[in-house]
Amino acid sequence: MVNLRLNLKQDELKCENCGAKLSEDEIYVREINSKEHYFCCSHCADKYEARFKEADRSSCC
Amino acid sequence: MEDLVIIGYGAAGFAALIRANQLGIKPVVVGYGEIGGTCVNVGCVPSKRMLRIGELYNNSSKIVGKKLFPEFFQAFQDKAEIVNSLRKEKYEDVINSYDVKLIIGKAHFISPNAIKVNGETIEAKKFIIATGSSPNVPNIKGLTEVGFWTNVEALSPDKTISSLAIIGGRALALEFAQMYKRLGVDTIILQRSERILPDWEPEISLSVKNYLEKNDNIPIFTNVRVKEVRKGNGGKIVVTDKGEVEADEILLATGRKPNVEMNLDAAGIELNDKGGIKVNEELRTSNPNVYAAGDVIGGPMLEALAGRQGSIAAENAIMNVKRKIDMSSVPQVVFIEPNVAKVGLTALEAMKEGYDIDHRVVKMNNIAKARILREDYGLIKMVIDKKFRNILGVQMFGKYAAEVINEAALAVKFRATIDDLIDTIHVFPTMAESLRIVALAFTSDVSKMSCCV
Repeated sequence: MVNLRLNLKQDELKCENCGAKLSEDEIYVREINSKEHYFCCSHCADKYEARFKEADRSSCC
Repeated sequence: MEDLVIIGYGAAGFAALIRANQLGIKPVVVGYGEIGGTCVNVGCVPSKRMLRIGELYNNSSKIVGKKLFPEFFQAFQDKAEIVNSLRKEKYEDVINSYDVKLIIGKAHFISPNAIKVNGETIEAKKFIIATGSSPNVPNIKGLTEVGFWTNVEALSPDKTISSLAIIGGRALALEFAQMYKRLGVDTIILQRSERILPDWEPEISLSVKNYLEKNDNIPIFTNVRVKEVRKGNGGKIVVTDKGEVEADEILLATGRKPNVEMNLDAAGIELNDKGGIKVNEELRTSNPNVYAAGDVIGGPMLEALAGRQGSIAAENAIMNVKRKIDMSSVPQVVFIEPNVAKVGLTALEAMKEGYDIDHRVVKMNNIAKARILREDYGLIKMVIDKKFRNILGVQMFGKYAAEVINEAALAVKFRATIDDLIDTIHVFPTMAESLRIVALAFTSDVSKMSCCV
């Protein structure tokens, strides 16, 4: 029998706007373009979504 | 020609045959494999018994101050006794007490109103398909050659192991991770999504992850893509995009697929986008004389729901009463300890459905009973319609959440408001008070309240 051998990189959930580490006390999820995005608060989600929409507009023109 | 043929004798099939008899119909029941289906044999019953054994030893460990583990095979023997007795009493004896024609064999359709089983053709006016589901095995390089476990092998292991790598991060993965950890086996969870329990509220996902990592010492890796499985130095190596892990055995907890291999085309029965049998709200398939119930339709795969669907399918097939199931109030539980339970919509789901919502989260350390038990880890989240104040969804991670969620299911089903919950006197001290306290949290700071308000 073998003991558990790990060589894995941990991937932490972070706010997609400000980069803050997310916890059960500070997590907010919003669906943007049919994909769930994770933020620390609704304000960060608003900022991210505004940037996302701006980038979307500029890429189509 | 027979009145009714029921294909499958698990939860949905049994509920259908019982209801058919109550309505004066003697059905033909066709099944193969262990009678009772997944739940009693390789699902809810054995896994919950194994989790209970682990809970007892974990509690004892806390009392004596050192880690105690059950003898590996003795624990599984205990589980087998429960499974055997429940299968006999709740399925073998039950089917003998009803008026059915039982055929053991695998059925397939040969026309819209006929099946063939063991070479015999059976024509019927109506059919109910209740053939359940099987573990989904993803296409991973090397997996077949190296070998793996599903829930079936993990509930009746033929060897002792000291380490287990679990691929998946939903209910089955979490339950088996804690179950084996509390048998003295090191476990690890490798989850493809960004969080475990990805369909649940994010607060619940993170709270459960923290608990399992800190209290059960189970490492959880998310956002992991499994690339390959190969033989290692005595163990099995799972190669991912984030590195490698070597363990004695690999458990696949990557979902279940509906059992639909019965030549459905011959009967004009279509599949849905989940690979299950496509049904309308009355559980009628694209063939108007064929109904389907339980896991085979590819919806939430829950024992209690399958049973209810079996009964409803029988009523609709026999009496054409067009009954439906209220899917908005179907509760679900992950039976780790403490339990994780939910009913209704998440905040995100409610917003997507067009509700203007409000929500509150209350930590279990605000619940007196949780403090008394010294089991105050976790939280409860409630989502309401802001305008009418009715409860749209509840999720809870905490002691006895599997029991508490039934009250929340009633609240969702009957469109109860937070005021209804507040006006209902709850016994003090109980974990069910958490529902009332989270309802109070919409108008008050519950951290500044006495025990009973």
